[in-house]
Amino acid sequence: MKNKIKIHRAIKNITQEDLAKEINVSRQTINAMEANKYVPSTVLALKIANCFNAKVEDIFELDEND
Amino acid sequence: MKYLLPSQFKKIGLVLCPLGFILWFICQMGFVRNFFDYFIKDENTSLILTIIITMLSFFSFLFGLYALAFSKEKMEDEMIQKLRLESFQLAGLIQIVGIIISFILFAIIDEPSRDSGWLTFFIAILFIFWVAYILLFNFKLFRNRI
Repeated sequence: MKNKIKIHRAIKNITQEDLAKEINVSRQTINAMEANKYVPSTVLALKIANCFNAKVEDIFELDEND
Repeated sequence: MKYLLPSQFKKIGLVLCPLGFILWFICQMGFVRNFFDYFIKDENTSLILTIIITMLSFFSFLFGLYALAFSKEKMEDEMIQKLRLESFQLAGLIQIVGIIISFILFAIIDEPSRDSGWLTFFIAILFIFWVAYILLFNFKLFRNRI
């Protein structure tokens, strides 16, 4: 699954640490998601979408391997 | 997870686990018994003290291992839980491979001659799982931090 967390973070001008604090996870988890090493749960995906005031499908999308 | 200890227990485990193991190993080598035999002339007292220290060191090693395996990370989120699960599965696999290899080696090379050989084997196999789990989990955490 691909995601646009990095882009949305840049638009909102917040660091990984800020986002991690806001959704109550570690900075490493944000880093792993941005590097496509970790696929978040539905709850976490919704929290991220909420944080960016966007829809989940605007941030996350399936790739050809899914 | 509900069954995890507070994160401070990790530090306790880091001290108790190696300390307990080293002391237990020294006891097994007979150094503690020799030490007490030298300073305490009564053989019974010396034996009882050695047994108490051996037991204490073994249980502190066990508790240290438990604290290391079951203490929370500072931020225990869903990715950490996934890393725990992966480490647990891999540790289980390592244990099964260890059991199979050990049995084959026993069958081909040499069967443990006494019951104590089997006992040592079963204890070692139990510890392999927990040690592998702790090492794998911390390696995965370290790799994630980079």
